[in-house]
Amino acid sequence: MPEAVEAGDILDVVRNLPDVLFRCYKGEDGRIYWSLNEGGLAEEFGLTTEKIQGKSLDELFPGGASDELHEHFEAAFRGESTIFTNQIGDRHFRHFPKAIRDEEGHVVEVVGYIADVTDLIRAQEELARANRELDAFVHAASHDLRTPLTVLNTLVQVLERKHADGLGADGEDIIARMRGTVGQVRGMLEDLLDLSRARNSEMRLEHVDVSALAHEVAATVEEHETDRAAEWTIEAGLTAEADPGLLRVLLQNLFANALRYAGQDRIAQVTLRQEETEHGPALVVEDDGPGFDPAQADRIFEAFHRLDGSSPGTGIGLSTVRRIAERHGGRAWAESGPGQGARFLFSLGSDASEGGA
Amino acid sequence: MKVLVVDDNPDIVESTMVALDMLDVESVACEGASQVLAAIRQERPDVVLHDLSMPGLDMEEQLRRLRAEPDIGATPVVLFTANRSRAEALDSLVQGVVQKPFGIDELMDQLEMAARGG
Repeated sequence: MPEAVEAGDILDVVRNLPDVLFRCYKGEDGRIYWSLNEGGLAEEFGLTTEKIQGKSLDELFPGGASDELHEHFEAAFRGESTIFTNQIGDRHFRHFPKAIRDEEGHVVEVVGYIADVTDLIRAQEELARANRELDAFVHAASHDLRTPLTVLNTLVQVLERKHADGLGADGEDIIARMRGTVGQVRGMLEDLLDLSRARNSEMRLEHVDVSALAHEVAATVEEHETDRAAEWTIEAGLTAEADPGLLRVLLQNLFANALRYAGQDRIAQVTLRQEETEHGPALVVEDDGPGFDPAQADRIFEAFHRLDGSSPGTGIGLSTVRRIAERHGGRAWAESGPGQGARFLFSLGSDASEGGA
Repeated sequence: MKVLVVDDNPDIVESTMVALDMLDVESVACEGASQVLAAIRQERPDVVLHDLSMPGLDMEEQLRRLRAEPDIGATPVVLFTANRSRAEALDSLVQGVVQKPFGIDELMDQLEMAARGG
């Protein structure tokens, strides 16, 4: 049975950890000294308590390259405990300092620990680089593909107008299919460009009349996206602090999606309203379609994921919706049960979405 | 009506000219942004259909230079672009915008309107 732990035992434990635990104070000369600096990293850099006792921060880490370190430690002694990361050679170290105060509230020492976060930083850099490359690829691909599509689109129209007479009914049918396909590719490219913009474009927040914008978008979607009719119920007085261009794209995608899947044998019912949810106030787009399997609720926001291969749409729109909500500091999610219609919810940051009525 | 088609992509130029020919619109091609002013002076088109994204092209600068020319400065320009939002910034300097891929009727409408207004 282990005995009660002594202070010395804890020090043994600390010395065997990969990271560093430290404790430092200000000497009468105003400089920073250590009363404790132990752990694997202290060992590795020859900076254990025994070796650095009596040496100030200035002596151990002379100014210049270590100016940042000095600033952070001085800030910590002012009681501004901030986590920071510094770099030595090609390694990155994250410091977690915390000021300890006496009864009168004066900072008497700073304690904390240091962790080697090189792997984390490298992974973050790699991820950021991969994302930049992916964005550049999406942008270039969607842009470059427009050129051959434009040529094809023009020539199909010329064929249709100038030569349709000689083609017969079969020929006309083939041309109609070609035009439909060109339209599909065009829609996909536009969705890809929207996704690329949603990820990268500069945000310009404004006070937006969401209800007015939604009416506008509903009219456009009904006219362009499909030949289906819908009855739109849009709550009055909805406002938000948002980027109007991105919010328009978000609503376009949700409305087009609702219209595609809404009840097929009647006029579609689509509503937009505000609701209080577990994630705070959110806007909800609801349709009266067949709904989806709740187990798929998260996957449908992945780019190019569609619930079934024959469904309309490009599988990009919901990914764009989520990205736009996230860029506003909010989130997007979906709820449904088979036969219950689908509900798509989004928030635009903790205080960004509010009913103005 | 005579249209100068400016685009660095020869396939776009050719297919657009095929469409214009079908509509009985005369057209001439220009594939380099730097040759546009000379081409306008030589061909005297009623409208210039000008691609917005060409290598080495600053479209705003191009339009300001054109507008400063005494003889050809009033030539109407219709922007030819895949990116409507980029075209919006140049609204005050051009007489129309056609988004690629385009509908032939829309192209014709924009060119005719520009030619009449210019």
